[in-house]
Formats: sequence, C-alpha cells, structure tokens
Amino acid sequence: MSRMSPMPRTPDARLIHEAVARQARLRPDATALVFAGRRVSYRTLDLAAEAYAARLGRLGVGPGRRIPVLLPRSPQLVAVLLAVLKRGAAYAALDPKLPADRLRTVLDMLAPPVVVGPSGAQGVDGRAVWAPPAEELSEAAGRAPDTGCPHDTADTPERDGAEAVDGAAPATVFFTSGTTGTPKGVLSPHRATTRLFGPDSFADFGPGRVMPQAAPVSWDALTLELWSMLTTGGTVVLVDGDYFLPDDLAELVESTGLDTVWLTAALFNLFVDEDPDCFTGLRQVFTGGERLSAPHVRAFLARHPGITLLNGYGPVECCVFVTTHRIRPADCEAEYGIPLGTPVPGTAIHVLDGDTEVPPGALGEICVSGAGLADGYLGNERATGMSFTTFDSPGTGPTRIYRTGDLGRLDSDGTLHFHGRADRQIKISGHRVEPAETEAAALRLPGVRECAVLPVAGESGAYERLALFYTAQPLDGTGGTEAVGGTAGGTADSTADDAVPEPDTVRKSLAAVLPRAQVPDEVRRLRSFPRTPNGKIDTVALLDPAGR
Amino acid sequence: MKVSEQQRGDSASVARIMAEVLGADELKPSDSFYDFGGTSLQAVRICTRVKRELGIRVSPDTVFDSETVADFQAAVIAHGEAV
Repeated sequence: MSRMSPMPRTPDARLIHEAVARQARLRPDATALVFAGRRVSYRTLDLAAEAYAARLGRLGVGPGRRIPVLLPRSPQLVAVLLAVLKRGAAYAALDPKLPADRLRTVLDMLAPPVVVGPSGAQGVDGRAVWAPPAEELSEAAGRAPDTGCPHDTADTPERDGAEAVDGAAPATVFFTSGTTGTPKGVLSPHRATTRLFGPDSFADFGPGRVMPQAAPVSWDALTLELWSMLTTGGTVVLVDGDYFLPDDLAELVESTGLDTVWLTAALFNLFVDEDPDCFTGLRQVFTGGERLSAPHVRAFLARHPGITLLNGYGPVECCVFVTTHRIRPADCEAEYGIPLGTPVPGTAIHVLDGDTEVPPGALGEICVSGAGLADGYLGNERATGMSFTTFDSPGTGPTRIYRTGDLGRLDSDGTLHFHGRADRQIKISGHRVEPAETEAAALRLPGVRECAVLPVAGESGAYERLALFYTAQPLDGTGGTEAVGGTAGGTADSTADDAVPEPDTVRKSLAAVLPRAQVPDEVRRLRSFPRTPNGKIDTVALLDPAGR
Repeated sequence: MKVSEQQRGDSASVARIMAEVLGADELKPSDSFYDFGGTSLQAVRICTRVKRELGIRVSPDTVFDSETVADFQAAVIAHGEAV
C-alpha cells in the first residue's frame, strides 16, 4: 500500500537560497534572525550572503563542491551557509567541537577547496581555511557586489555570484554514524528541503512565525529550524550556547514572540516533566526522532489543548520528516503508540515485504520515495546501494526508494504507524521475537512511562533472553525518592508509591498477555535512560554490566 | 545579582538535586557526575531544577566542567546568577 501527496507547485522556490532571496525582495525589512537580542533583516542577511558568496567564489567554491563550515551558531553562520548555496555548492555544517580525528575523516570525505572556520582549528591542518572577518552582518552587507537596489522590486532576477543549479543539486551534507564506526555523509538536494515548506506544508509557516534554532547545527533539525522560517518569511531566533532549557523557551516566547519549536522526544519529555508551563504562548510544537512517550504527550495535551502538537517522523536520508501527525488525546491510547501520520508534500510511503507492497493494515518495512530522498552516502556506493533501491510500483513503475529499516503499517486512512526496527527481530529458542511488541505491551501497563526491550546473548553468542528496562516516575514528580534498580523477584521497595509498578509486577503482567518467548526474563526499573549524544536511548550502555 | 546568604545555605540542596536526577540514593561531595553515567539531558535537568528550587541560573556546561559534586556546588555559588 502506498500513500502519496502531490508535489508542491512552487517551482521558483525549489532552491533554498532563491526562496530566501525572494523573501528578501518581498519584505526586505522583516526580521530574519534574532541573536543575543539583536535583529537582522532579510535585506541585511541576503546582502551579507552575497558578499560572502563573492569571496567564496574566489576560493574555488562552486557547483559540485562540498564546503565544511565550522562556525558557532550565529548570524554569520547562516549568511555563510546561504553564501555556499548561492555559489551552487553544498554545505556541511559541522560541530565546531568535533574531535580532531573525526574532523579529519569528515574533511577527507568532503575533499573541499576550502574550509570555512577559525584558522588554526585542530584537524584542519594543511587545508585552505577561510575565516570570515569578525563583524556584524551589516558590515558584510555593505560589501555586496551589486550597487543597484535590487531589493526594491519583487521581480528582480538573481544577481551574479549565484550559480545556476536546480532542485536536484546537492545543498547539504549531514553526517550520521555508520554501523562500522565510520561516519556516513548523507548528500541531500535542495528540493529535499524546499519540498517541506511550500504552501501545502505540514505545518503553519510564513511571516509572523518565530522559531528557535537550538539543535546541534550538524543535524538535519537545522534544516527544519532555519529553512522552514527563512524560505517562508518567518524569523529564526538563534539560541546562544549549547543548551536549551525550559526557562529559555519561556523567556524567548516572552521576549521574541517565539511561537514554534522543535524538541526531540527526549527533550520534549524533559520539558514536560520539569516545567510544563514553559510551552505557554506557543502556537505549534514539533517533536519526534524516536517513539513518543504517551504519558508525556497526554500531560502536554491536557495542559495545552490550544497548541498544535505534531509527531514528525523521518530518517536523515529523507531530510527532516517524511510523515507528520497532529496528535489528539485519543492517540495516546493507540495500541502501537502515537501514529507517525501522513506523508509530507512531495513524499510517498510504501510498506514493503521484500520488494512487494503489503496489503493495507499489514506489517512491512517502511520505504520512502519522492523529493526528500538523498542522493546517497558520500563516497560509499556499497552502503548507498543497500539502502537506496528501486521498487517496481504497480501504479507508477520503477521508483527510487529509501529503505528505512523501520517496521510499520499503513491503516485504511493512509496513516502510518510505527512497529519498531526491522533489524531488531530476533529468534529465541526457535521463536521469532520482536522486542517492539513487548515494549508496546509494557507501555500499556499503568505506571510504565518509557521502556526498552533488548535481547541478551548467552555464552554461545546466541540471544537467550529479553531484558526489559523501564521508568515509572509519576509525571507530577513526587515519586522522585523511590529506590531504583529492583529486579524481578527481588525485595519489594517499601517506599514506592502505589502507582509505581514493581519489576516483578511488570513481568507477571506481561506473562499474562504475551507468548512465553516474548516475556522478558530480566526486568529492571531505571530512574532514567542512558542517552546517545543525539538523545536516543543508548542500548549499548543499557546492556553494559558496568553501567548497571 | 549576586547569590545571597540564604541561597548559599541551600548548597546541600544541590547535592540532593543531583542525586535525584542521577537516580542515586545519596551523593558524597567527592562523587562524580560521570561515575553515575550522567548525560547531557541529565545535566539540563539538574540545571533546570537548580534554577527552579534555588533561583540560581547555571549552565549545564558547569556540570560537565565540575570534577565532583563539591566542585559543582562551589561553582553554583561562585558563578551562578541569582534570578
């Protein structure tokens, strides 16, 4: 079964920098960026980008090139990214704190004519580096090559300096961890970004919207936070520093009129736990990146019924989101968790078993086609060939798809539901076991807030049992004093709140609803889950005996 | 605004907040955030609670830069901004 949305009908907006320049022509004095209390207009941003593009052109930046940018979050970073795009090249916004060895690996993969960043950065040794001058963007704007007044009319064509490329041209490179330990560089075209923010977008974008850029600049969340606003006439508030706290959100709503925010599921949960009122004043909240916690979502919706809460799903290989779902309270009771939703514009979802589409309602691998797909992994044809394949669609013929490795189901309404990772399915004593199913069952038990089920290998190396880890702290935070680490069969924790299920209770409850092979042998309650740097549950740390 | 004497008296609360977030029964002044597998999200949680309960704003970087619980307590008093 497939689900397709029409392609956006805005051909002039297929290029990120053209869409931004168009906003600069339409509303030159509108605020594009807010940083440290100061505002940067669209005119200033676009002119500064023109000035930097002229400089980058003399440094060999042009079509087909991939330019690493190692600048801290700032208006200058945004202007430089636009400048790279104006030159027809693709940017890789890198974490300025990347370890030197990792940076060397990444730079070797990009093979750039120049690195934009502070001179003398560790790991940049031997390469050409351009450090933009320390200046306000208004100073850079004054050096823009054209002396005319092109921003006075809306129909002025692009000036020199901009290279002719189309929506298929690479715009960004996102680095993601590879299973082998070598990073994979995902080469994403302009249209993968611009497909998201057209007039038929999944959310409310445009003049008046204000969104923070708070995610690490190397994530595709930067694309969401930056280009959703700047290609549509909204305002981006650049958050100073590496952390975004609930107080920061509330303060920015007050001081900048912030009304839109993206939070990873882990951060969303934290904000709901620590300060549920920090969302007051927002119009729309986007969350996702991993399975949402129904108790947190339920608490949010009860507190903020007027705020649109979207679940966004999408691997970086498909740029930001492939589906979104506006969450309603009833979704929190859904058997397999909160739905992933329906496709964003220019995107189709195919649920496949091997190379064949499954009937509506059946489980299969979630595959994606459309404008969001990356060109592939930089210099890694093997990995590209494994993940990006062709699907012979009965309706439309051969279609390029990205295989997510996620399991899902399209219901009769065309809404996609998540059923765990395809590659987590295991066999224990001959039984086929899907840990996600055990997780879904555990999440339906009262008091279980988050859980993860992992297979545990025996001495032979084969999986022998399942371990279930869960958190159960009540949402009001009053359960913060109970002991942690009780195991099934262990001593009951006398201080625990009645609402907090004991590990032994969890195991028995699961045994009542699941086949034996799917009941976890080991059940442990945790105060909180170890997380990877990008906020997902760290399964390696969970199974590390030293960390338990 | 500087951190007041009353807030100074609350410094034991800093250890309690860290213990709550890290899931430890109790933390000794010589304990380290890292020994408890502390993550950046937990650092954010600690700073959010320090701000809410003690009225002192401190960056999560301070948690990472502190070798021990005692160091973090001292840093909160020394560098924290009362709000």
